[in-house]
Amino acid sequence: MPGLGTSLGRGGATTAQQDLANADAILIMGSSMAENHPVGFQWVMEAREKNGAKIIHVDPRFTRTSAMADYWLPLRAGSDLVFLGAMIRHVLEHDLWFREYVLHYTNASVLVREDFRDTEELDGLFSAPETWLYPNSDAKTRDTGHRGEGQGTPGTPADPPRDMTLQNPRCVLNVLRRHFARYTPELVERACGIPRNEFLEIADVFARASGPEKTGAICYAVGWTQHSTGVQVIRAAAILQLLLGNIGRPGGGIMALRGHASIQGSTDVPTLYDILPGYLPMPTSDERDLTAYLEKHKADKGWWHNIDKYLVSLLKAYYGQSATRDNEFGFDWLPRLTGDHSYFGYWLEMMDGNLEGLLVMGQNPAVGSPNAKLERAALGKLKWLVVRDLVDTETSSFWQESPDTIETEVFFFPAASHVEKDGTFTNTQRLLQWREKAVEPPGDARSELQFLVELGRKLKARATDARRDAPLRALTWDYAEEDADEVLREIHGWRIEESSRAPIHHFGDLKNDGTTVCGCWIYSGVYDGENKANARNPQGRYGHGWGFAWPLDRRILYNRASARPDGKPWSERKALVWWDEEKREWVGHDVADFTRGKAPDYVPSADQGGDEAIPGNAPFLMHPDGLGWLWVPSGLKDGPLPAHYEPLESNIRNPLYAQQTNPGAQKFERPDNPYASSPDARFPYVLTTYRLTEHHTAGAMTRTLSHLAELQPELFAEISPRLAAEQNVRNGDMVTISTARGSIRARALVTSRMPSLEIDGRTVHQVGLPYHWGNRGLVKGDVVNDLLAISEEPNVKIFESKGLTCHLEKAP
Amino acid sequence: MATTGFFTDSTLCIGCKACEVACKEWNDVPSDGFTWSGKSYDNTLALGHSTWRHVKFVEHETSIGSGGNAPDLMTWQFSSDVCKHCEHAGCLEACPTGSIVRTEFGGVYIQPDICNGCGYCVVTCPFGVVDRRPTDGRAFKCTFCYDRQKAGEEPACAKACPTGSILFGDLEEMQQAADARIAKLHANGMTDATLYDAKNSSVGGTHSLFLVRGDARQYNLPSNPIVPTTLLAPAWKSAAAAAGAIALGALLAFAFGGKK
Amino acid sequence: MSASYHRIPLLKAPVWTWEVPAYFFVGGAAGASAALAAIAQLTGADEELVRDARWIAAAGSALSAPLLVSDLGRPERFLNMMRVFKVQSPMSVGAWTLAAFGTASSASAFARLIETKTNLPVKLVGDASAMMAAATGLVMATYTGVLLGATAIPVWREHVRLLPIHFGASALGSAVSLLELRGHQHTALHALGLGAAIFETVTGLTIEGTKDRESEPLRHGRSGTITRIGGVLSGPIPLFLRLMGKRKGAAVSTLLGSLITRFAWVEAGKASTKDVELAL
Ligand SMILES: Nc1nc2c(c(=O)[nH]1)N[C@H]1C(S)=C(S)[C@@H](COP(=O)(O)OP(=O)(O)OC[C@H]3O[C@@H](n4cnc5c(=O)[nH]c(N)nc54)[C@H](O)[C@@H]3O)O[C@H]1N2
Ligand SMILES: Nc1nc2c(c(=O)[nH]1)N[C@H]1C(S)=C(S)[C@@H](COP(=O)(O)OP(=O)(O)OC[C@H]3O[C@@H](n4cnc5c(=O)[nH]c(N)nc54)[C@H](O)[C@@H]3O)O[C@H]1N2
Ligand code: SF4
Ligand code: SF4
Ligand code: SF4
Ligand code: SF4
Ligand code: SF4
Ligand SMILES: [Mo]
Repeated sequence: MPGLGTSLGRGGATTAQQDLANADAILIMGSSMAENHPVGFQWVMEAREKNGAKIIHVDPRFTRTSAMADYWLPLRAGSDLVFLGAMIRHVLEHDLWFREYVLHYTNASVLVREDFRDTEELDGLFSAPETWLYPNSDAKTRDTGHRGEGQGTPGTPADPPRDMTLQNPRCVLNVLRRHFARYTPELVERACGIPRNEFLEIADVFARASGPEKTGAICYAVGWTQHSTGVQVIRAAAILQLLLGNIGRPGGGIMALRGHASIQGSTDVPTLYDILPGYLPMPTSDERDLTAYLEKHKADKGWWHNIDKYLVSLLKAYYGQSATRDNEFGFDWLPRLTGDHSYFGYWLEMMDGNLEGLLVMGQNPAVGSPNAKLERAALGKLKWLVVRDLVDTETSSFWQESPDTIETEVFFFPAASHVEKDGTFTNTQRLLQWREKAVEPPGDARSELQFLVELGRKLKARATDARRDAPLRALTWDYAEEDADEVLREIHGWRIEESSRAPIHHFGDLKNDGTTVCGCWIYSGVYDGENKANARNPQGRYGHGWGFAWPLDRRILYNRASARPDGKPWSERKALVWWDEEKREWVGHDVADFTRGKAPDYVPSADQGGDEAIPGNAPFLMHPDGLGWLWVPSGLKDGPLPAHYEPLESNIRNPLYAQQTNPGAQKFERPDNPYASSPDARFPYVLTTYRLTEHHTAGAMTRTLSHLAELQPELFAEISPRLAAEQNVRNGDMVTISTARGSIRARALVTSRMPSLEIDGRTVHQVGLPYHWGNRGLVKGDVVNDLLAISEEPNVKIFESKGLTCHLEKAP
Repeated sequence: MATTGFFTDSTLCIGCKACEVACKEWNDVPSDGFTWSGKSYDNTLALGHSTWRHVKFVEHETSIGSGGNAPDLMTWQFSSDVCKHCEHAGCLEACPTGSIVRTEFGGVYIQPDICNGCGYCVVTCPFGVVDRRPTDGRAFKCTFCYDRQKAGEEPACAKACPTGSILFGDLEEMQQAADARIAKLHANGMTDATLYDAKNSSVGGTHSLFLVRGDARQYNLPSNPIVPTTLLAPAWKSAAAAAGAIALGALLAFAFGGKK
Repeated sequence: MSASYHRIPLLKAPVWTWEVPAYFFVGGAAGASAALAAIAQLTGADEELVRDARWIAAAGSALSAPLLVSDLGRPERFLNMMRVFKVQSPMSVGAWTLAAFGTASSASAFARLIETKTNLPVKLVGDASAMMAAATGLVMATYTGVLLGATAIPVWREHVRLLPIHFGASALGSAVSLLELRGHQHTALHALGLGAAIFETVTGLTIEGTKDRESEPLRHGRSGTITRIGGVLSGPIPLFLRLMGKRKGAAVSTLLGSLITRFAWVEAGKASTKDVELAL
């Protein structure tokens, strides 16, 4: 989540769903929260009912979320950045921004380099990445691409030149004004299809629900992320919330609503190729040794100054006694990145026959991944495939499409489900919750833990004396058969004392000398004395005592910002944490996301490093300057500010720039992954995809259960009455939907909830498809992802599932 | 034992169907079939022998700018329906086996070990709630989670509801909550919010109260449900008259009709 | 668009299959027959007529029980009907009545048999049973109208007053017809048959003349056609045949009409639940 990571410091939701109940306005956009996070949505309802908070939903469709909202605005899929840019402009133009907050807590006053050229000048391109850096950056800190969920950008100087009068035309705030000057309500009307007056009303409702006495929150999910500009859309939201002073304050924040039950957990302790646990960057091939690595990633100032402690403790967890000071704690044994090894790349490699085998655990790419047709074909090029799942999925049974020609050997391992094993989930708000095994798994089903422990043992037993097996030999693997508690203890960490393990409280106790062990530093604290993820006694406004939120049970991140620079709350109503002069510490409803005893008037001296370099009035402690970044000097691949680009397939010319699409996006265009041209008369309609409450993602868990399958038994396409008339389709008819990749069949659900929009004098019809069906289970249907292309957003490599072009007609 | 009730508030319902599924899970209710209806997001369509909680999706035209909570416009309303647990319950009165009883919680409960599947409750429920399950032969409907209530638990549907759209508790408190809610919504300008409790009908009130927007009939809530027992008097009077007429007619015919 | 939920009918259709209308017919005819037997005996009509009427009643009651039982979803639990007696449940009243009627009518029939074959003193028992059978028989002939009328089904409910009389007349007509087909020529039978036919003719005309929406299933569609056939066979045709002196023909028509009429009403009930607005 580098959108949030670079802007604010950490790649996670800044708030907790419970806190939404304290909001005065909630903008839900790029999410259908009532449908996909129905339990968390209760706090949105609470805000609506108890505070009279205005709920705004911006979505191409009128969804169950819109049905709960006070306002609903439909927009053309893929035009979100125009909308948000116009919100930013509205706030700036009408002086609705929170001056004191912006001045002290953001980098609005920082001056950008003189040689920086904006998209306004270069017609949609930014000048080279080094021009985005703070002017006083030195050559050493030129790492512009902090990898993975990149948030730290440690090389950035802590003391950039600033103009606290905000008069200098080069200060960020003024750059911002110019950058978004053309994102007008008229443009919203032309690009999004939202009448300007409706836009203005809603922009005003949201902006005016902020300030010392009020706060507004933003909720988003994959309706924002699954675009070729996804990260920059989130960036725009962060800019808006920083300008309105809504970050770190009760009822404010950005609620990144995440997906699978522990998808947050699987980025924290990652299943990603480019980061190590706790968002430590995976070394690249040019980071030959630990020194080179730290040279690049260890910040002088700010929290990432501690990275060496976290990495060394992690290496000690991996390699135990084999990790010594002499061998740089086994740093050399870590794999190195040689390029983009992200998810989609290897499907194409597989398709081209360059991959031998694949282990699929808890995923169903034959249905869930874009260009699923290609992916199913690619599976047929493997020598072997291992699938671990609860049920025989479309992925494990892909070979049945042509059993005579496919030679892939497929192994299916039945997996224990979440109720059949112990462990934690890390939920959407960074909360670790322990889950007890309720029943024994049926038959041969086993947990992932059991499987991986066993696999590790088998691999270690096969380790040879060869140099390439050295990491395997060094790897500590003394786990019990299946003990999740033991794993959580290792994640929390300990201090090595003689030959025993001495307890630590949290990551503050970690050392860079090889005397501490920690599997994931941000989680450290979860096993302080006891398993805090298993705490079941919620207290107070944020339910402390129930589960454990990383870091250190802080529920609202950057909550130092809920107090004024002098440490007093901005208002009584919006008090969260504040400086207690008597106790000389930060107190309040939440654990302060700040050094507890650091006074608001603390001013570091120039030679201080690490957290000590962060002043007492700088809430964004992960950043070297302690500020929230309206302007992101480094860490992103596509630009320091968000700019609107059209989706990779669009029939609309980018109304802002000559540059049509995100210049950093990857299309992987090839005969088996073709694109429509923009515009393309063959595919006149906009297509977007999404979820239904009744099903879960690729559907293997819901299409197999009658109680859920009967609720939505068939794939359907939501279309407007006008499109239906244009294609002579009636409700319930079978229709064919096609894109450059392929075509599928679905029932037509004709509804005014999917409106056709007026854009630039043209009528734009949109087609909506839920994507839960496949050829197995109690209810079957075509695979929507056969329509999508494999593409990559530049930062997180996500594909574009929302906003492409298609054709729809009555099925023959 | 206190008389309990439901207050189901459609203005708080997000249409997630958790209640419908929780009911099926708890009570082990079988599938209702896998037919797509094309009627908004509703594919189970009505209460019945295999759907004891049912979420309705009432759809109107949308209008740019207005969400579903806009007080002056109805767009997409969800309402979770259930057996009304009538004060005067047609099904209970009519059941010839005494299978249907009123529990100590005031609910109307079919004792599954007694029902012989005569099907008479099916035609005597003015709300179309109860039905005979062909694969089983007995009649089924919401049990008001009698088993859970006995154990001091709230019904599964109410428990599962994430938004508080289904409130469960003391019937009188439910009525007060409903009145207060209506008053609040009206004060907020949502003047089309109404309470459906069939109080002013021969049903004499229900233990499931529903707050809906607009004409309750859009949710298949009848404006004047009639409990069939009110028809017994005229029916039996007619029967008596008919019997009398037959007897008298026969008497006269035989008396005056001679021997042959 | 009128107010309704996606035009999905509110009410559930009756689940009853052919056994139920068949039972209505058989039970009605048997009940009326028992009444005729008793009254014939009281007025001193000929022995054979009384005997045959008793036998028809007994046979009808014997046929009724299996019909009723087999329509249950759980036939093996028929006896649960006898767990309780509920006046407010026409089905319960009916079940008990059938039980009593069955006992009484068979007793009266067998008493007669025993009386003729042996010298056992069973006449009193027989006659008392016959009285009992007559009383319960009259209920049998009419209660099914109550059973349908006192429900939520609009077409039935609408005709709650008519149904018991209608079914009663039809039952009487059937009983008379059965006796006539056994060869009885008693003028009283003819008179009663005429009366029933006249009543059924008037009923038929009344139904044809209804304008209300509730009665539509009696006039339109499949159920309307069946109603009309049943009505014509029960009313005008036997009336005409009787006036022409063709009593056997009239009897056959009446029986058919009576049977079809019961099917018609059950069908109309099913159709009635499909009317979306009515129940709302
Ligand atoms: N019941 C249920 N819950 C789930 C899931 C599930 O499958 N079922 N999946 C889980 C997972 S893995 C995830 S990632 C989350 C996802 O949660 P969401 O992001 O809420 O999921 P979606 O339904 O894919 O998309 C949300 C909304 O985005 C809208 N949308 C489409 N295109 C655009 C666009 O261009 N702009 C804007 N602003 N909106 C657009 C869609 O109409 C849809 O209403 O949900 C999680 N929760
Ligand atoms: N068109 C379109 N495509 C999309 C999206 C979209 O919005 N539009 N959304 C995307 C998103 S956000 C996501 S997250 C993906 C989801 O796509 P996938 O992850 O491919 O789909 P799931 O169905 O969630 O697959 C999870 C599998 O894990 C299995 N499972 C569950 N629990 C366990 C367990 O404990 N152990 C094991 N081994 N297996 C388990 C389930 O049975 C299921 O088959 O889809 C993506 N695809
Ligand atoms: S499925 Fe789980 S995570 Fe998703 S909304 Fe329900 S309770 Fe929350
Ligand atoms: S709604 Fe119907 S089933 Fe429920 S208690 Fe009332 S009459 Fe009985
Ligand atoms: S079907 Fe069962 S519950 Fe219904 S009336 Fe008959 S015996 Fe009673
Ligand atoms: S009370 Fe129980 S049986 Fe009735 S609807 Fe709710 S969960 Fe189902
Ligand atoms: S669980 Fe609650 S919110 Fe969900 S559909 Fe049922 S009543 Fe509505
Ligand atoms: Mo997801």
